[in-house]
Amino acid sequence: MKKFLGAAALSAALWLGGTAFAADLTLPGGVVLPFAKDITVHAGSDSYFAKRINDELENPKLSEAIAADLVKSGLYTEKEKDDAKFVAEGIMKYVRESRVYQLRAEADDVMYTAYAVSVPMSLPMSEEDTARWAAAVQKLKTLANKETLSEQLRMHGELAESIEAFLAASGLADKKTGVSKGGVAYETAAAFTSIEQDGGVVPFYCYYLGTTKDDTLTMTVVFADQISGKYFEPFLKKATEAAK
Amino acid sequence: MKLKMITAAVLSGALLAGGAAFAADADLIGGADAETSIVIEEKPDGATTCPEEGEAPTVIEGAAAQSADLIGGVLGDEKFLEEMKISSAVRYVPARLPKEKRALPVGQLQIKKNGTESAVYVINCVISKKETKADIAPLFAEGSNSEKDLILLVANGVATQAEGMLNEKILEGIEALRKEWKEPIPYDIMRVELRDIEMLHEMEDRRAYTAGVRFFAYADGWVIPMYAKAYLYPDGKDYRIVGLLANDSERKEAKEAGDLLIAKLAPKKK
Repeated sequence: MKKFLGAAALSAALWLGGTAFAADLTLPGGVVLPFAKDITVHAGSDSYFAKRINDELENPKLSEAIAADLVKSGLYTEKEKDDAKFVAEGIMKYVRESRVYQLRAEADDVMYTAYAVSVPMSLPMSEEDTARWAAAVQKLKTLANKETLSEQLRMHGELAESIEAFLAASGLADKKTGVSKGGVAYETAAAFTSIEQDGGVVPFYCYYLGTTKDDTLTMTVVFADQISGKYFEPFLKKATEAAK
Repeated sequence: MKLKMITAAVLSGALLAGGAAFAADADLIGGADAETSIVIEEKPDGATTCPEEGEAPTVIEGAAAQSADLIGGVLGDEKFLEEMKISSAVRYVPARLPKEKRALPVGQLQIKKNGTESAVYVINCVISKKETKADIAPLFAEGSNSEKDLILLVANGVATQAEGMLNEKILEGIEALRKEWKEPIPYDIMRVELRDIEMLHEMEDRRAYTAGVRFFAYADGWVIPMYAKAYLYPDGKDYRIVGLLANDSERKEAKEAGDLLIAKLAPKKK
């Protein structure tokens, strides 16, 4: 028992003294979103298991397996093997380069949290690559209507359709484009919305931020419950305008 | 006395964990034919969380089996808690299996207020008066009695120590995983923090008890701030526990909606 008590004391000490949280969110493309002091940012890459996950994601066999699955599921034919490989490698590249963060704030006796996913894309893409991605997106869009596809892929298609539907319905009305004080070109959109299924709802807030710096487009989406979203929104807008 | 202690521990643990998951020194195990029963069995310390190396089941399998037994044993019947409008801002909607109409004993309180929408998860549990060994009856006896006071005293005593007990169990779990996975997982990778514990107490105008807690889980650098609240009240031949689970940010809305729900379900005080 003593060893556990010792470990607990050590944990507490490490937790209090050894963990530093940044007040700025540094996106993978290099853009920095400065937040007020009362918001802390945890980068998923600082987590203990992040390195293990990254090691797994580096395994080339993973993209080969995804490409084989895409063909097996019927999304791509045998003749389109190269396209499936291109898409699988592209997906894995974006997964490897993407970053996840948690935003936290304690105010009014409440802890607010939000999650951010950020994906960088190098631009410009070649015409050939652009056409291949456009074709891949088209394929994904038609998934919901394909009876021959596996149940799992059809579900992905249905999910893609419902996401598209709610984005259209909510209008992401709060769209804005501009250049920050730090010279970063940005595009934002935000919505308080919810996904509904069988009577159940998942209400959430989402804030999209596209930033361009040094030929890299970084797409960041922040998700939160709606009450947290209402708290974070002014900070997100302020940080966007001050991006550097 | 031992039975009272166990009762209090069960009440405290079950109420604090939203009526669903945790009993401090006792395990809640439902038999295959006991749809609405709680049977309390004391187990050797650490038997399910700290198996010897090479011994089946693994830590995760053991925990999963234990949770399944618990949920199978105490989840309420399907006819309880049908869809209802509770107020102009709050609606209860039960979960339903796809393509089936029957309601499940879990659902959501859907709240629209101040320009935002929240979904609070609800779980409906049943304790059969006949089958339970947990002696809850004194809690609902008329007037004050020493047995009621003792149960509340012990339950709330356990609640104040729950954080320490949970963290000790977590450390034991990490120790077991380190052995099982042969991986030097840091001991500080996970812990929980219980804030603002609302002690088990009788509600003002209902024959019902309630308790609540802000439950913060810290895992590998992430924080999951939750709020759990539960209500216990007599319902004919049974007792019911209605548990709520929400984000900490939705705490105020969850508490208000939960109180409104119980005002519709629990008997009024005479």
